[in-house]
Amino acid sequence: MVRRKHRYAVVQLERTSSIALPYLDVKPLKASEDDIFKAVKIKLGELHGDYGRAVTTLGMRVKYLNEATRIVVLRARLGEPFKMMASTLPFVTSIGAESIQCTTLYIAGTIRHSLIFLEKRQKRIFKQVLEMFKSDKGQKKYKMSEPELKERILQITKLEM
Amino acid sequence: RPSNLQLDSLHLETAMDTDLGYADLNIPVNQGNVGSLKKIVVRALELGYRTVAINTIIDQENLASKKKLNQGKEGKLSVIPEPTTVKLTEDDYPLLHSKGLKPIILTRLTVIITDNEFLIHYNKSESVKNYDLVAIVPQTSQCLLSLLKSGFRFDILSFKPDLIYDGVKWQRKLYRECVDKFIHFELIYAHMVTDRDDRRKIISLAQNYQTVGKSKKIILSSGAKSPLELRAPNDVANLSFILGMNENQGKDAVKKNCLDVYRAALGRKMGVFRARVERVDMDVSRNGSSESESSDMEEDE
Repeated sequence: MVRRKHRYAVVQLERTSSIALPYLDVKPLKASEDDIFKAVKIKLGELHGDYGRAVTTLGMRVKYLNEATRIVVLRARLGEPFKMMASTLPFVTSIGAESIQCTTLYIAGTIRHSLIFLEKRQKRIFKQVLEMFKSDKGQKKYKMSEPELKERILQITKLEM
Repeated sequence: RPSNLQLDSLHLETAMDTDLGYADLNIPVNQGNVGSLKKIVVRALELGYRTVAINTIIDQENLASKKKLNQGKEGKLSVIPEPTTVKLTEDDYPLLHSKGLKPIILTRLTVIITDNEFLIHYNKSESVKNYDLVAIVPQTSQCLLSLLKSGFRFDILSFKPDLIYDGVKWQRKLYRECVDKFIHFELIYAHMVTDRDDRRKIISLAQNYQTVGKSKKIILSSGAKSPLELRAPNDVANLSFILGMNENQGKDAVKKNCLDVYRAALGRKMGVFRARVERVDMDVSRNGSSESESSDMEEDE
């Protein structure tokens, strides 16, 4: 049997209200995998019509979703379906009730590579955040005080597991 | 013709060697609100761009001579304005700073023309020489043809969304003439996200470029008036599927073609150079006593 090949796109969703602000956005997303799937499907129908929507949603799936860090891994079949999906991602502006913006971070050929990339990235960002806290500049960039933020980080890591 | 050397050869070598990375060559300036310009630039640097060009847009209708201004037509310019600059500190670009790179900020002038008479104001003004890039928005194909014949040289050909269906009728010969004169074609994607009619017009223009010219020498830029309209460079390259380009052409449109525009603009500012070719008399003994003259072989790019 011939192997079916896919492409996995690692996408970060940022809230439009927090783009212009200088501090980190720590509120988790209130969306499920279904909501994201629907939002992308509807945009596909607008841009590529019935043909585009049918061809891409066949092999499309949300493989990983982390509401706290707002990262999604979307899968699509290799070739035209993936190109159509990748070209509609810049146009997705709202999921559920929130208005968001998509940025693709990485395109991988297997789930394993996408998760390897994610792990490296999260470790790097975690280091940066801790360093910011040690210096005085960190105090100004966060709305919460230090013990509150530590509690929050513990809560977030529990969500992942 | 005498050559106007504004850059000496050392400066030119370093300028030609700079790697622009991902570039966004169209961030318009709002006349009323200059503070928001810095936010857009900071957001672009955060998303992964290294080069940004700040765009001042002028309409030919607004350029009037001093006589007419004195007669009472107010609200019009008599002089082309100076380029605007943005001051950035190291805190504004942490991504680039961690790699040890600095952002590059260029200045660009866009003129919306109806006929060749804007050249009178253009040749008189002195602030035009301070701009790095020059772009033109032609309203009809006739005015574009007359501009190409006049020997005026510019870098980028842009558009306005209202003018797409009534404006220039593209043909293979016209496209090839522009390509021969080192002119690049620009596609703006900020209007596509918000407005459905504009989306259709821009897609049809891009497909037109593909039929007529095989999508050569196209650059993609944002034209963003607020930080929410910017997109990451990988996303912009993925738009190539809708705009009738290959994947490679899409990636070039954000990176390599912008570098070509910058180099062509440098060549345009330097002016025309001459190279002298002389025949060398070689002795049969080959003792290394041949007389040869070497002249500065710098060509107009």
